[in-house]
Amino acid sequence: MNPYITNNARWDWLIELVHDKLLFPMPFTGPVSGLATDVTQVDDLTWTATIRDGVEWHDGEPFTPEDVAFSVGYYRDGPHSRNAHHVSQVPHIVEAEVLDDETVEFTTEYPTPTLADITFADLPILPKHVWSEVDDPNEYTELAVGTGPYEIVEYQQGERLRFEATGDWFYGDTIVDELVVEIIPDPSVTFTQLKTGEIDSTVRPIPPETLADFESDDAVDVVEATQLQGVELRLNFSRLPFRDHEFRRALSRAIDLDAVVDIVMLGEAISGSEGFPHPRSPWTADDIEIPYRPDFARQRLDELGYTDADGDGVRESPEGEPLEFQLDIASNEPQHIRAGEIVADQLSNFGIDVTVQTTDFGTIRSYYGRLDAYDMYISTSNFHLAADPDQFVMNHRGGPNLLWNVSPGQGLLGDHDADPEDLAYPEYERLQQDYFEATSTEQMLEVYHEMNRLHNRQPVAIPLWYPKDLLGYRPDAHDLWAETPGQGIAHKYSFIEPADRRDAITREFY
Amino acid sequence: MRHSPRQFGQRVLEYGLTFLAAVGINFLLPHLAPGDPLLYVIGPEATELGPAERAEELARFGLDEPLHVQFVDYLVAAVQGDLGTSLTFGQPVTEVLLTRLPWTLLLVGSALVLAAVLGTILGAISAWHEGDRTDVGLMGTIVLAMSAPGFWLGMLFIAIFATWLGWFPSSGIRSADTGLSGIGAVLDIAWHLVLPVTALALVRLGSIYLIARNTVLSTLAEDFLLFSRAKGLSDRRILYTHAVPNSLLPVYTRFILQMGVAIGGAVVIETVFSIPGIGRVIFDAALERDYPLLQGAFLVLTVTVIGANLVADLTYPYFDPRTGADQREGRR
Repeated sequence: MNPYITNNARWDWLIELVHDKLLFPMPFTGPVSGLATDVTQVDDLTWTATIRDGVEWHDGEPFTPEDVAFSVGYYRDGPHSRNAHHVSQVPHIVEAEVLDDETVEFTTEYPTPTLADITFADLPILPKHVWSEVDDPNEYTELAVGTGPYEIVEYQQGERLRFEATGDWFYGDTIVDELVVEIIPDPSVTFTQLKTGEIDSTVRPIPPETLADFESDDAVDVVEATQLQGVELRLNFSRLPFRDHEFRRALSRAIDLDAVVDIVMLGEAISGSEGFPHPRSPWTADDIEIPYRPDFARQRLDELGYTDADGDGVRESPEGEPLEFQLDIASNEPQHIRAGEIVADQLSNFGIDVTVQTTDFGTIRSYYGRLDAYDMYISTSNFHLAADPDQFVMNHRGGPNLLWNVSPGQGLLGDHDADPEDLAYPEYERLQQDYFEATSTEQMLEVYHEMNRLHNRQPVAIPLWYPKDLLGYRPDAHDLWAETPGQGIAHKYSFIEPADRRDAITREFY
Repeated sequence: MRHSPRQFGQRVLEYGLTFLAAVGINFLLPHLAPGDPLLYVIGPEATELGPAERAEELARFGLDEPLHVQFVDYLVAAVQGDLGTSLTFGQPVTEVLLTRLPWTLLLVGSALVLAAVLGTILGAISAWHEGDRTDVGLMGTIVLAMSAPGFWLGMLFIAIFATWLGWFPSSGIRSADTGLSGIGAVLDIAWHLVLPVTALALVRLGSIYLIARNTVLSTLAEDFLLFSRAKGLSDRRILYTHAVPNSLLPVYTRFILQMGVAIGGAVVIETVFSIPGIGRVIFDAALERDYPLLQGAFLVLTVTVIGANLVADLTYPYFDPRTGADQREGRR
């Protein structure tokens, strides 16, 4: 419940039960008024927000514009957190100044036409009177104080969280008085508890192999509501041959992504052939794809000089290195392991030798910061990584310390052993420059879609599939669920009067 | 006092050195692991630090000091109960572990007592019926149970007794119902513990059963039991009054040693049944790469294993005077 400790967007829905944002609900739908009643772009670099009057924090203190200005500065200047880049890098809010008792002015370093649509709809606002007293936010463990519809009243470490409705949320009237969130580490136990009625709903999607069991259960309803997640095959672009952009293109066209979905997910997922980022994100270009083109892949590999000179069935690079790679996969992800085996089998037909190696989940997670540690690995991206344009640019951003031209030991993606000169990607860096210079949403989208196309032409991460997110719940406990993209059905809008939900939801299941 | 002061001092010194070696290895873990040690102390954001911030963070955690200075600092802090801050929970590691330890002690303690009592009784029955159908049946069943992986046994129990029959909750340590207090709360915890305790007891039962069976068999061959039969004592009295008490020493040793090991051995059962104990902490900390918490949990395991050995060593002479100082000195 601490926006600093909860450094993973998976738990945003919990944070948002307690905390509100300036605009609702997520950067994946048209935002509506939240803690700000009005947001105006004054010029390319300046925005103002009119703050809602009469809102109180859960401890009774009044919510003020000072809280908004403080939150921006705290995220920007404090330790790294899941929310930091929204104010410190992409975009960069240089200043948040309180103009009067209802207006805050934001000044950005470069034009940010999507400041309202993305940043204001993604940044939980913190109470200044609480957090200004906190020296190290990573060690703050008090129960959170917010303005949201629910107050957290109990946290039993490793067991559960308990939320109680405050009864006076400005956006709508709550219809569920108490929410108990059980912490269950083992996914199979989650589904057992849903079957036995020990829990009423789960944020974990039902695995395809158990779907029929739940669909035949009269006590459980199953709906499809996207959480905008994806499973990706990540390539170490700091190493040869993966830093050869055209090699990545040939490799991605040698994988039959539709077959992977049919075999591993029994067809119950969106194929990675629809490209990256998430094809259901409203921000993503609609003409991207990663098609299976075996003839093209073979021809391109030959043209690039990756041929099997010694006749052992494995191609060699122009430098004479055999195309032998290790694919690391978390041992607790059977679907990823199966997918890895299929990908390895498919690539062997192209003279690329891939060895699947299972390892612990912690190691896989650590690869995000360690380009010196792997060739390829499979991992899951939540909506923040798979569907958010600012995060896309953040993750693929050029410059002295970031993805392209990174310096060893620094930068978002950490250590690597390549010469920074070799990592140059001028085509991408030009688009990135255009992104930071776009002054309207239309211009920004045009550039972003071009980035999408370039990425899918020469992907550094090949999407394997996007789960359909089949979510189960027991209607006898609560049957007024609704969808908000990025959070499926588990979010605060599912627990307020249907008439009050308005544009915060995209679909209802009642 | 069965140990002479010299023997006692020697034992404590031996265990102290073992403890120091274990703590040293524990301290070195982040330094020996590949990559940046800061990554293990503050997490992935270490990769995003600039040179000045990096130097500041290294100094903050004392990682800019020579290794031997860091080790001494670590020891001093550990003795004072300061094991750092958990990256996952943002709380002091000691606080996290102290919150979790009671649940593990309750689970493991209950399971081991159950395993010890049942294992001893079944071992004695098996020995008494050596070679017949009772012995073979018991031996087969218990060896099968001890060979079954803990997670499988746990999931089988959940499938049968929670999902199918609905007799017990499938996981957790207590209900979310806030109205429970006093005896109601105790009974609620006991109800939640039935399946995990039984599963863990079955996993641990086998070794105690085998030891009990073998030692009772040996005891039954002793002359004093032949004399008891000749006296006309009943089978039940011979077995439970004479044979079993004289066979308990190895069972006791096994029980104490298992107590140390089982604190960590409950990882699987705690994970399957969502019990928030030390085992779950180890599982979660490993998944999240929360090295300060992992180090702290390993330290607890080290202390319990060494402590259990020490307790077994020091208390053994009370139960078996032949191993005490008095006897050894008498032999000289």
